[in-house]
Amino acid sequence: MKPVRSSLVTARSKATTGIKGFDEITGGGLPRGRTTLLEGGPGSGKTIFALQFLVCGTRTFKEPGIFVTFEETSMRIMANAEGFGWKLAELQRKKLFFLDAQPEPDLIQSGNFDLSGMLAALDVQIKEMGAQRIVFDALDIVLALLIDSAARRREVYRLHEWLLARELTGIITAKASGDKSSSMSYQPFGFMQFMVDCAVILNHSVVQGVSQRNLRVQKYRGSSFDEHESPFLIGNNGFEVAGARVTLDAHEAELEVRVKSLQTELVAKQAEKSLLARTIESRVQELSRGHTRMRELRGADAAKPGRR
Amino acid sequence: MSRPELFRFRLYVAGDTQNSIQAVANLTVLCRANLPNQHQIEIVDVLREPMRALKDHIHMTPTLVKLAPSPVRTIVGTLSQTQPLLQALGLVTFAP
Repeated sequence: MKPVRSSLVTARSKATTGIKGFDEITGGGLPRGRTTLLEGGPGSGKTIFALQFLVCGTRTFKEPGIFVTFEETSMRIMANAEGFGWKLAELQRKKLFFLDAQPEPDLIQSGNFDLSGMLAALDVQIKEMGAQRIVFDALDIVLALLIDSAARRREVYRLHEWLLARELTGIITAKASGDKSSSMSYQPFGFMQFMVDCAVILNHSVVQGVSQRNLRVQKYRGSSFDEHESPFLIGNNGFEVAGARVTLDAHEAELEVRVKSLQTELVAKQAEKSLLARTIESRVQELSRGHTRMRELRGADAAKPGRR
Repeated sequence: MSRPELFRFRLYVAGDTQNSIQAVANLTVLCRANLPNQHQIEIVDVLREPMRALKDHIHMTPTLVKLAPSPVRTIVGTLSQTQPLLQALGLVTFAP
């Protein structure tokens, strides 16, 4: 009885992302009521991951969600999502709310600011729709406008406290450049990694002309998780992570099949080879026989009188 | 130069957070010094009127909007850096 109950508790403490493979490697999804930091370079799939988490919440678990976007417009995000067949338009407003919070391009700045205005507005929105999941996409954009690292830390801290107090399951995405020392914006995220309960890193690289996408769970407080890099792809239905154990098994089975077929192929090739060797041998014999016969004929020819 | 133009400002603040208090003080000082008797300030507390912040697309606080004279300008922050602020409000003329 006891182990069953404890596993139920664990399952309830996690929010399913609906991302194939990711829920496996984390044993059920993201920490419920806590904040996850999702880091990655440009084009690494942060926005898609975060949006899929919200879509899964509304569609499968009736947990409405809010998407706050600091970089791309909600129009563009929705247009991109159409490609995955998520039909965001029918979820809009009541179940999935987009807040466009991009700083205006001609914005003039004089001194420091904070996000308390936006958070107050979000409070009303959350109450109205009963939101349980929330995403802050590209927080680095707005943090970069703050004057010093102390102000950046203060805002990250404010946001994190706000999320915890409301028991929202949140994702904060931020761009991370590979080069840690040169990146000005890296510092607050280093700080953020310590603060959040879960941190996931997305990587996109090209190795010998082949695109490779990898996901790694860097930390997950109070839960075991697969620490290795898992390959993922962005397919027709969105994000798909190669779940660690399952794929290993599948991979092994696949390898076994391949080894067997290679072995069969090898046997066949060997038979072919010996057949070929025999054919060659008989051809050589045939040729040498012909050669001998030709010499005999030539000898007989020379012996004939009247011909040169 | 017959009648001085009226400057109309709207300042969005978030309660009595430090940044917001500073912005109110800075704006008051700036107006007294540069626009005596020709300014009007409306203060909107987004903690009291959160839906208004959402409707007016105010995400960062404090935010100052200069409504008149045109063009409308939006300035974010405590308004502590006076030079860019005065330029944005058209209160400094550039010497050739």
